[in-house]
Amino acid sequence: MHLYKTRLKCLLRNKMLVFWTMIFPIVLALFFRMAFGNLKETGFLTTIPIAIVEGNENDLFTVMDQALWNEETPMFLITKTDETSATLLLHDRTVSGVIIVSPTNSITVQFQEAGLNETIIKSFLDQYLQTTSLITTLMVESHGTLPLNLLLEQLSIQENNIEPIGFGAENPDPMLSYFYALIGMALVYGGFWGSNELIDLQANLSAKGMRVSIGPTKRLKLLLTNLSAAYTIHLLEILLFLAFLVFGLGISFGSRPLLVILLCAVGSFTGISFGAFTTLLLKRASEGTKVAVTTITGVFGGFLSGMMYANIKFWIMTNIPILTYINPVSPIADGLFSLYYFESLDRFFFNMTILLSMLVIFIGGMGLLFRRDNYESI
Amino acid sequence: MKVFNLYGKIIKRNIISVVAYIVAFIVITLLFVGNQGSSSPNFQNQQIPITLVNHDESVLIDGLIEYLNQYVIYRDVEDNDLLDALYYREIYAVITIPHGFTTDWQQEGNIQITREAIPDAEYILINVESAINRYLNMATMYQTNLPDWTLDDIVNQITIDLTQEAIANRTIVTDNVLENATYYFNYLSYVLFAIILSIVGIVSLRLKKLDIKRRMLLSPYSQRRTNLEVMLGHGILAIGLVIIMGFLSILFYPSIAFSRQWILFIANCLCLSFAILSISYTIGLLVKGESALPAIANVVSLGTSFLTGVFVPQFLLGDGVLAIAHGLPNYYFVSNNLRISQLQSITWETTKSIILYMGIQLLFGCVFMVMALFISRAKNREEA
Repeated sequence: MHLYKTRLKCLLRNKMLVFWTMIFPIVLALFFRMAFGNLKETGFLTTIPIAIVEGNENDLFTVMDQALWNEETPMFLITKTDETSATLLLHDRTVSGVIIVSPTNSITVQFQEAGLNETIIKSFLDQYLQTTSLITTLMVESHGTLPLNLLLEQLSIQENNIEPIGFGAENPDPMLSYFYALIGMALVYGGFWGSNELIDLQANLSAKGMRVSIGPTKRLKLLLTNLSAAYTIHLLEILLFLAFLVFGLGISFGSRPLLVILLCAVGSFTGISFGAFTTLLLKRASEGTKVAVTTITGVFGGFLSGMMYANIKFWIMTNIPILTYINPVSPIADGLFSLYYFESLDRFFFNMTILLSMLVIFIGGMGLLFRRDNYESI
Repeated sequence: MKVFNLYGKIIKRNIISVVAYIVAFIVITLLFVGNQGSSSPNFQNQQIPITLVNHDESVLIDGLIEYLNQYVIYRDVEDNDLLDALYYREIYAVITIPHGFTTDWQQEGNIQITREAIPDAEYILINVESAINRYLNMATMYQTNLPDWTLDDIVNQITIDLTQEAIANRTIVTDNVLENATYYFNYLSYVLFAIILSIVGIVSLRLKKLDIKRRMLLSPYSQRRTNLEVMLGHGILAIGLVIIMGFLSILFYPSIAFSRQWILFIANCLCLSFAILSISYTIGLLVKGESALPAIANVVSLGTSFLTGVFVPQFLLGDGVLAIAHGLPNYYFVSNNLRISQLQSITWETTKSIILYMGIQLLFGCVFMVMALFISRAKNREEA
C-alpha cells in the first residue's frame, strides 16, 4: 500500500503524462464542440441562397419567399437581379441556383452542382409547376364550379403522411460519433501511463529501472503496484473527462451510464496494457518512438473510428472489417455508439468481447516479455 | 555546412515519426481515393438508397413506388438485417407502407406511412418525404374535389401532373478527381503542420540551449552563416515535404498531374508551408522543454485543422468558429483548395481571389517571422 501511494504521488507529478491523458482530450473536445456545434444547432436545415432573374417571375417569387423550414428558418434567401449578375453569383457560389421564368411560364433553373441544396430547389420548383397543373385540371374537370379560394385553402392544409420512427433507443444526434471516437482515443492514450511504468521498471530502458532491478522488492510486485496506480489515475482522468463532456459540453451517453463506465474501465486498462506491451515489444526503440506509437495509434485509430469524418467508420466496417478488430479505439467508440442507439445490448457485448480479447493479448504478451529478464551488462 | 549537417542529423533521428505521419496520410488518402471520373452536365436528383417494405397492394401505392424512383434507389434487405443495413449506411431509411393503407386513406383515416432513418439522414430524406407527401396530397385533392373519379383516374392524372417539371441545367461539369484532390490537399495541411512544427521546434530548441549558443559564438562560424544554414535547412524541409506530397498526389490523381489546377494546388501548399515554418519557428523560440513540443505540435496541428475546415467542411462551421478561423493561415489554404478545384478557366478574374488568399498566407508567414526576430533579440538581450 505504501508503494502504491508513493507511486500515485510520483505519477501525479508527471505533468506531461497528465497533459496527454486528460488535458489533450479536453482541449480536443473543446475544438470538436466549436467545429461540430453548428451541426446540431442548425439540424442541417439551412436557408438556401438563390437568384431569380427579374422579368416573368410572377407568383413564384412570392411562393418561394414565403416558404419556411420552420417558424424561424426560411427555406430560401432570394436575390432578384438580371441574368448576367445572377450567373456571376452562381459562379462565385454566392447562390446555389439561378431561376429563370419564361414568358410561357416554363421554369429553367441553373446549378453548378448536383448536391442536396440543388435537389431541394429543383423539387420545390417541380412542386410549384405540378400544383399549378393540379389546380388547372381541377378547374377544367369541374367546369369552373370549384372556387379557386377553396382549392388554395385545401392546398395550404397539406397533410403529413409520414410518421418518423426513432432509429434505436435515442433521438439522432450527428455529433456524437465524433466524441465517442475521441473518448476511444483518450482511453488508448492510457498507453502513455503503461509505457511510463515499464520504462521505469526495465533496467535496459532507464536509470530508475536499474535502481529498481537491484532493489529488494520483487519486480512483479512493483509491476502490479505501478500498473494499479497508473490505472487508478487514468480511470479518474477518464471519469473527469466524461463529466466534462456530460456537464460541460452537454454530450449525451444514453440511459445506461453504468455500462458506459464499465466500457471505459475496461478500455482504460486495455489502453494501459497496450502501452506497456508495445514498450516491451519495441525495447530497442527510443522513448520518442514509443510515444509516437501510442500517439499515432490514438489519433489514427480515432480517425478510423470516425473522429475526423464520421462515415469513415461505417465504410471501414463494411469494406475492411479486419481494421475494426485490430484498432483499439474502434470497439470503444462503437460500444458507446451502440449503447446510445440500440436498445439491445448485443452489439455492446460484441464490442466488449473484442476489447477484452485485446486486453488478454496485451497482458499475455506483456507477461511473456517481462518475465525472467537478466542483464549481464547494460 | 556544420549547422546544416546538424539539421540533417536531427531530422534523421526523428525520421520514424515523420515517416509514420506520411504513411498514415497515405493510408487515409487511399481510403478516400476511388469513384473518380467526370460527372454529367445533366442535372439529376440526388438518389438516396432506401428499403421499402410494402404491406399494401393497390394502384395508388404502385404509382407512388414508380414516382419515388427518381428520388431513391430501392435496396432489398431481409427484415432481420434492416437494423444492420441502417447502421452500416447501406440504406438511409426504411419506409414501411402498412396493411390497409389505401383503404384507410380513401376513408380519410389516419394510418400513416412510417419512416425509420439513421441519425444524420433527416436532411437527406427531406426530398423523399416531400415527394411522398406531394403524391398523396395531390391524390387527396382529386379524391375530395372530384368524388366521381376512380382510383385509376386519380393515379393516371397525378402521373400526368408529375411530368410537369422545371428544366434544370448545370453550368459547369465538376471534375470528381479535382474534388477528391481537394480533400487530399486539405488533409495535407494537417500533415505539414504536424511534421514541420515537430522538426523546426526540435531544431530551435537544440540550437537555443545556452551552452551550445555560447560554444557557437566562440567558434569561427559567424552568426549570419549559422542563421543562413538553419534557414536553408528549414527551407529544404518545407520544400522537400511539398515535393514528396506533390509527387504522391500525382500517383493518386494522375489525370490532374501538371495541370494548371495542380500547379496552383502546389503553389498554395508552398505558401502555407512558409506560414507554418514561421509559426513553428516562433513556437520553437517560446517553448522551454523538449517534452512539451509533441503536445504543442498535436494541439496546434489538430486544433487549427478542426477550426479551419480541414476535417469538417467550412460551410458547416458556425459563424463564431469561422471568425476565429480567419485568424489562421489554414483557413485561406482550405478556401483556396476549394476555389482551385472549381476553376473553369485560368484568367486574372478567376484567379485573383486565389492569389489574394495565397498572399494572405505569405503575410502570416512574414508577420510571424518579424515576431520571431523580436522574440529572438529579446531573448539574446536577456541571456547577455
